[in-house]
Amino acid sequence: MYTELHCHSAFSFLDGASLPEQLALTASQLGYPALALTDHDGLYGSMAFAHAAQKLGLQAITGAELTLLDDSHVTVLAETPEGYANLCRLITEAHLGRDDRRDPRLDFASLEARHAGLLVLSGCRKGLLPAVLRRDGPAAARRCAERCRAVFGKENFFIELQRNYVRGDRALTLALKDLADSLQLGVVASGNVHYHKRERHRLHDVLVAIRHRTTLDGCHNVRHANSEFFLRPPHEVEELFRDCPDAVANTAVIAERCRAFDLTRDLGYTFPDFRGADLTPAPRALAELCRAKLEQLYPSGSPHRNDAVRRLEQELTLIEHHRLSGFFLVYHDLFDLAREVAADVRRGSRRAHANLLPGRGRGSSVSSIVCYLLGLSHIDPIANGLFLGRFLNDTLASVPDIDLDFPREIREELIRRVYKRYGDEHVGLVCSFPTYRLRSTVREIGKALDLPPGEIEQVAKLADRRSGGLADELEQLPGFAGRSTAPLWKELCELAEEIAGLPRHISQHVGGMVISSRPLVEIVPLERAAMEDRVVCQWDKDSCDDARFIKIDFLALGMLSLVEECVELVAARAGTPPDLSRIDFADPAVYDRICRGDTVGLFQIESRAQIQMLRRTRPRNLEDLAVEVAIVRPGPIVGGAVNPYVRRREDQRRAREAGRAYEPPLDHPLLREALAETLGVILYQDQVLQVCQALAGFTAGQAEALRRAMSRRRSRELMAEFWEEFRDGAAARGVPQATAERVFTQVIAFSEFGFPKSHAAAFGLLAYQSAWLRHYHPAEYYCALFNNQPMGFYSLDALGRDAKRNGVVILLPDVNASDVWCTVLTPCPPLPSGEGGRYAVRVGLGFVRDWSEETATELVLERERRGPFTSVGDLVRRAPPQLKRTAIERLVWVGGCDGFGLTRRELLWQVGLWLPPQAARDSDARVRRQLELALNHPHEGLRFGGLAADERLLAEYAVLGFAPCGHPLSLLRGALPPGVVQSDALSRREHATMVEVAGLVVARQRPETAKGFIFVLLEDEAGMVNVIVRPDVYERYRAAIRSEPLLLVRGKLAKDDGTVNVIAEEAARLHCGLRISDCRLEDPPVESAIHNPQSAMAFLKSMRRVAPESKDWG
Amino acid sequence: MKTDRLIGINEPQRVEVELDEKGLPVGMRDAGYKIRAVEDIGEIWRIDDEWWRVPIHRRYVEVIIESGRRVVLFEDVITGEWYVQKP
Repeated sequence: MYTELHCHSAFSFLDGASLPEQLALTASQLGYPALALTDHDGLYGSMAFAHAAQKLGLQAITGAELTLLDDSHVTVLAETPEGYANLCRLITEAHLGRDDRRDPRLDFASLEARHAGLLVLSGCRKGLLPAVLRRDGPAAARRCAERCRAVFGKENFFIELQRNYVRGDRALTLALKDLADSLQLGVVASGNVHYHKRERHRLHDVLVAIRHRTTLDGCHNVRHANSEFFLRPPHEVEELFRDCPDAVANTAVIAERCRAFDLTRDLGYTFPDFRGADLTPAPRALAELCRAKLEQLYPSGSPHRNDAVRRLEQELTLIEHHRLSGFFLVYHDLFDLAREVAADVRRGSRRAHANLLPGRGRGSSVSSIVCYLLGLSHIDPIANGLFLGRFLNDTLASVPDIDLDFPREIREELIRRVYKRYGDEHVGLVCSFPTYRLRSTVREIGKALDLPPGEIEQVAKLADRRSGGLADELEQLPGFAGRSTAPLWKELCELAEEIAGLPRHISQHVGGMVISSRPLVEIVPLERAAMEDRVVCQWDKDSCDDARFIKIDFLALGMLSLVEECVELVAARAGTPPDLSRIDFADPAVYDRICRGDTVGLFQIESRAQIQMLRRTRPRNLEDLAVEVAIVRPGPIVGGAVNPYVRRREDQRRAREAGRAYEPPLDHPLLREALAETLGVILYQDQVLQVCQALAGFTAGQAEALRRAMSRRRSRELMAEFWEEFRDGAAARGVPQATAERVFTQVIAFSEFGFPKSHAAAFGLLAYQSAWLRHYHPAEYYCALFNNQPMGFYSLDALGRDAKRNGVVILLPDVNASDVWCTVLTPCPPLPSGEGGRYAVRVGLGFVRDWSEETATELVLERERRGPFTSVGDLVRRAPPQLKRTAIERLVWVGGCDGFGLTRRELLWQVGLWLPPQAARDSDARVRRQLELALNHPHEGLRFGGLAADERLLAEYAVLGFAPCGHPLSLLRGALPPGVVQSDALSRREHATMVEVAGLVVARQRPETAKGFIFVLLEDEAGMVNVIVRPDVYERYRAAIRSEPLLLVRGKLAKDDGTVNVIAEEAARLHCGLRISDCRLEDPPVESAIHNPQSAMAFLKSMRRVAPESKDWG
Repeated sequence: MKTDRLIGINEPQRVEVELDEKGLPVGMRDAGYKIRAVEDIGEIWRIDDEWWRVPIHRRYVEVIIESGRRVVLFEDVITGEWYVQKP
């Protein structure tokens, strides 16, 4: 019986058009007993393939097609576990031993040196023997085959015969067969499969074109000649090789031999030992460590002591049961390492005494008391009532995750130290495989099909992903109606469907790290990441999970870096750093601001949606904040939890004010314990499990299976498979089926992203700390916020103006006052404009376009050494040589040299005198510069006027990307259509009136959960306006809504319990002097800089060019 | 005589072929000539190209006809028509 031994999946990046799962399924349907996956130089898809095959009862053979130094190929299959380990090492060598990380090649000598347990096949048309045969003739090929026979052994080396109806196959296979016969080598048939069904050959052709960065026509010579590289029925292959039955029989022999290795069984991964493992057995060491710490944290007499003791014993038993004691101790070691790193990173800084943790636990690990006692988590699970089930339970099928967040610089150093401690060969980062998104799909396939680039770009920019596919979407786009059936566009639409979900390339996972006691290079191949010095393993998070790897997530959290810096700045001003673990966690002043929705720049609770939510739910304690963090997530939104929760929260508040008790309605009384605290809805991932246990009697093991399903890629399908168990379990407890169905919809909604409670609690706490810092140390907070970009929901532009609204003035960079990064000015100097503000932050020189951190540092050092700069000439003379003329000019444009006492135009003129433009500068430029210094330039004293307000604003946007001094709308106010309402006046208007608003687009969102509704956040000089766009309105004004930086929107005002929205009816690019409709003049026009519509239009035109990018999500 | 005209040479010619149960030619008749029996079948290959323009799907068969001449026949897989092309 024929078995396919040469098969590529999409993980042969851009040389395979089907997923491993599709290949496994097709093989099983065609009746194959076994199938080998042999991707180019990698095992990326092997784990997913092995698990998919196992489910289908198909034998998965693990292998790869290796590229040799001369670009020829050889197919290698793992016969035994040793062979697999060798294969991993060989692939790793092919990747790490090269200068270009995208061009892995293996020295044939390495294969010769390390072939035990491997079966070697001579390769495809580009294979080892065919290449020699073509290049050097039959005699050389014979020598090569003899050498292979001698090295690998007659039993382990086979000559591969492929017949894909390619012209020349016949002669080649005949020659190879002769060679095999004369040397008494075995022959083996193979199909060189690149896709699971014939129809996919088009996609494969396109992928080849993409790989060669050309069109389909342009890659004629490298494309396959035909569509015969699909997985064909075994009997057809047997017919093809009727003249050579040995070649077919040998496939079965090889498959049988490869049974000795099963990737799902024989991996041999173990976690490293903890320090001191030779002295004490792990369970005892762990118990001792925890009990000692328990005495400290819960001394006798403390309220939670009894619960804590009970919980600890329960956890220790479970941990021992799963033999995870060593794992926790290694974690403890790692955290100790992190502590060392943090101490080193912070050494010498003021915050070293601030009682800051090196990092923080997140995710389900926070719910464990063992983690709390070991210092891995900083949340008391007893006091906070955290549920253990998601983290540890009786029938744990996989090891629990521990996620740790660190400030960026600590994380970087920690990763280096982990490599050092456990050894390079034992550590790897988890990879991820980005798939084609709609935009990249359209661009790349469009280019392959040679469609007009302009039109392709238009579609790529405007199209949204929707269920009907690209064809549906094209029909909606202005100017593209009817295209979806036009030649080439039709192909584009069809191919876009096929390519969806295929991996595009390998990339680094955000934080996952794998540590192994056995060298990791024998378990999974490693390769270089795009980032220098980083090594990733070839498996993504799902494959690592299947491999039962223990994944440690070290995540960089910008907010933690911000908090570190903020604490440092406060300490610099006040002498002592604030201890954030001991601040008042129930400060009404902080909560009042949060409830008002004044949260721009805070952690997690700053987005448009969050602000709206805060105004309605009004959180008053940390637990409420945890809810806040968890609720605006796809899981609760899809599950329909949000509106009921908000309504009930309001009912609860009214009941409390009236002195009544409040009972939240529940779908079923059995859910009381699980859902009472969240008013009857599922908000947290752990509640999903609790609900299944309470309502449907799920065992801990079933719940664990569900948890795993929840975190996988195809989570929705996987979770839906639990319906029958759920229904039957619920029925057994007397729950009506309708109720069970209702609850189950909420359960599977969590296939979308949701937070475990502990994660939400950890983030809620950090959100509060950020709010506290912003409230009590605003200048330091905004300064740190500027210095830690990019992070969060808003652009620097919006953040700067929010700072101003909160009394913190952002000052432009100044060559004599600015540092490299932003600095706090205490006390705030009197400002020339006379504007108010108690605090000030000076923008750093490093923020100026064309200034690197390095240049800025050198300039600041020079200033410190030899005093302030006194003139442009002085600056030019003393500036670091890499500071180019354009960079100095940019600084002048935004007022960085205003201190020299000249207007900016005069300064620019002088810069030009000292540093002629590039073209005019020749070899004697330096000499010329010297001469001018001594004599004073005759044109030095020419007088010019200063920049007008609009010119300054444009310059700030162009140079800094943000405008701390003003808002474009404040300049335009007088020239705007008369009916336009300023954002702060909206709250005084009646509900349901028509209004016109204008502003800079801060963010556009099209959440998948919002059924096609678009949310646009506009900002004018007074604040932000929320605009909601219905799908039909969006279709009409899509071009403006998607791409215009300044918008004019007309719509109906919707006011509801503290929130104000504009429901758009019309939208257009902001265009002065033109009105989108007739609006009565209600407000008198405000004084503004630009009255002349002509110059307003010119300003707007320039503004469109330099406006900051809004933060957009799909 | 016009000299500036490009003309295609060696354009494939329609032929009628007689096929066996496996779809391989056993005989052919070209442009009104007599039927020639196929003596032997050589290499068989396939071309799938230009699917994004005017799709080409052809199955080529190299045959030796009774005169001993080598001829390349191909089937347009879309229409089922056969053509002869001089090698």
